[in-house]
Amino acid sequence: MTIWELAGAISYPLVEALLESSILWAGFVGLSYILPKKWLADKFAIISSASAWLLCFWAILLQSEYVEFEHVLEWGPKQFLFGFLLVIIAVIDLNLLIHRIKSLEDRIKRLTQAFAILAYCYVLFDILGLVIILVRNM
Amino acid sequence: MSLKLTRHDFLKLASFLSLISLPHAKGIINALSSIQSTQQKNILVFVFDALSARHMSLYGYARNTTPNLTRFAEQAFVYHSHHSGGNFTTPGVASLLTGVYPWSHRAIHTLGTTLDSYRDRNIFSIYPIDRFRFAYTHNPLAEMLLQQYYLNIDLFKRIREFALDDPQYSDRLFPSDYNVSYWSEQLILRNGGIRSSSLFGSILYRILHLLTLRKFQNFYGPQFPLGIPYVAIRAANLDEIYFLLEDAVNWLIDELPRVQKPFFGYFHIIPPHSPYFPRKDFIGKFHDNFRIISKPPSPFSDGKLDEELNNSCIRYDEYLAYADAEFGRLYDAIAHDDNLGNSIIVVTADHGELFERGIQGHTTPALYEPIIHIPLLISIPQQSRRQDIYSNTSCVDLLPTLAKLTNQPIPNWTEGQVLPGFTEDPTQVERNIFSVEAKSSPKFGALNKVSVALIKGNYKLIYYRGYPFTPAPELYDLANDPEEVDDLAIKEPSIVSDLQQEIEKQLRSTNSL
Repeated sequence: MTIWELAGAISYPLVEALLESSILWAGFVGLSYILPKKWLADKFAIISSASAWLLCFWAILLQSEYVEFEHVLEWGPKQFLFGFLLVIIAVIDLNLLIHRIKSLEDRIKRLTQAFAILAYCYVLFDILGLVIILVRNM
Repeated sequence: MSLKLTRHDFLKLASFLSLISLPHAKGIINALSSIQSTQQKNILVFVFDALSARHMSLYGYARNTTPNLTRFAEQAFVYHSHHSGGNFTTPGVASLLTGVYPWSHRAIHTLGTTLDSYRDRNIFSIYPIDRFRFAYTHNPLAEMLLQQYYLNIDLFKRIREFALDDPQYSDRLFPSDYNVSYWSEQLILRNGGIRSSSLFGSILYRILHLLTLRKFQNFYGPQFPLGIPYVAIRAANLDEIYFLLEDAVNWLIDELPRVQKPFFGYFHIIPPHSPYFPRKDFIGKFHDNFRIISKPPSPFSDGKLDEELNNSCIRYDEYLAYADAEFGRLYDAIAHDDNLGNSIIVVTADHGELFERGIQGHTTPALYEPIIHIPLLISIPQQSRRQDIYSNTSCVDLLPTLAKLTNQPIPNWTEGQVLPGFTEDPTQVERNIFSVEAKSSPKFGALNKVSVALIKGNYKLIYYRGYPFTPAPELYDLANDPEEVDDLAIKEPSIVSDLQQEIEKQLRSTNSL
């Protein structure tokens, strides 16, 4: 594999991650218009970041070696509904805790700010990846 | 290019011949006759994946697994001691296609490719552009190699064209960057459980994929009660590609009469490669008293019990019989088509399969005969009888042989020789035949962790190097002990030493490149 091919192989996952993050972000933006302001819009950065982390945790758990994914497909509608509710309840619970516990809100805020620096770098790499993909496919 | 002579052409040629001397005229006639009789021949190379010669009734196996190949062999050269270049698809196919051993082409890893220099040094490139060249394989590893040679292939059918499901997106979204985007797609969506780079997309993909599978099972289940045939490269975390062998064979039957002549076709089916899912009518065909010979466990044993191996062996044999029946259908179609009478048909395999010594499969460093002893049958036009050839031969010999049969110059880079039956070369008898497994060595570095089988005369040495528990070399007398039960390494140290030196010499020369 040449350096240029390697750059391409890294760029595709980066851009896919950007796309996935954007879809998630767009979902929270959409929710912020639907839900009462004080639930989400007032603390958008904190609530959406915390919710995204929790969703990521669930996704990693579902992909982990501890979950036989093939068994998930054997689930019926009830199990699916239960799993979906479990995720929603966890997200709502977290948000309730953020609203009620000031120290938790502050910690997540600090964490969000710390991650923001990484996010800037990440976006920069994503854009670079996007350019590489465009050039490779021209 | 058609070289048919009309009566008018012949008269003109005759008048021309009268002007020149007789020896020259003879030369021209010979050349023309040679062009008509050899250069215009079509060639079809039909490859079975993981087909061990040791499991073919054609070569004396107890079960009647290959009645159609036996029928085909009645009008073919049958090679009884033919060996693959490696123990799995990548090195095996690469050696077949390039005519060199794995230490030269370096396609030694799962999803590996040959060195760039072989893009123009392969079985497709030896033919002039007026020969129509087409290729198809069920196997993604072989497809990676064919992809490398696509500039020399006129029609390259992709696996997905005959796949029941089409789970790939990269070549539709990024057709100009197929290879790299395909690698990335694997990483993003299908890199197995915890390592997929996409958190949410991969889950969605897996749900959709498994729902599709459920749909197939409902539809094709009655025809394939053990499971729908698929190819999966677990080591590379490739998803299953489901297919019906009949679809690919039907395509070839339809295409051969239509395709531009002369042609060179490479057609590679995945059966009888695992998982073994024979069609309903072949299940239960071999529920008999035959049992594999119990042998001492290999140093690389996976701990499989003989009973387990016997059961897998039955399924493999059933799957092989199914593949053989499909080949029979193709053979009948070719035999009944007058336009295809002028065709050389080659049947072979990329590697074999092992059911003994605690090992099932072929991805093992242990290079016992069932893994590397593969079939080779070559039928030339108008051949009316079978010719059995017992000399040791290698898959690297196919390229120079086909070059000779079609009057092409034999490339100087090939490590193979023209096969016995098509040459009188006496050096064939004592030549070295190698099979190499070097998956754990680097592509561009020295092959330090490697297994090499060297077959010379009656003897075979299996030599291991660089493993944490490097086993001692094993020596077998294949003429008197074809089952490789009696290891002669201790009894015959001088033979071991001689053969080991030949392997070391070969490794030194390739490692110093």
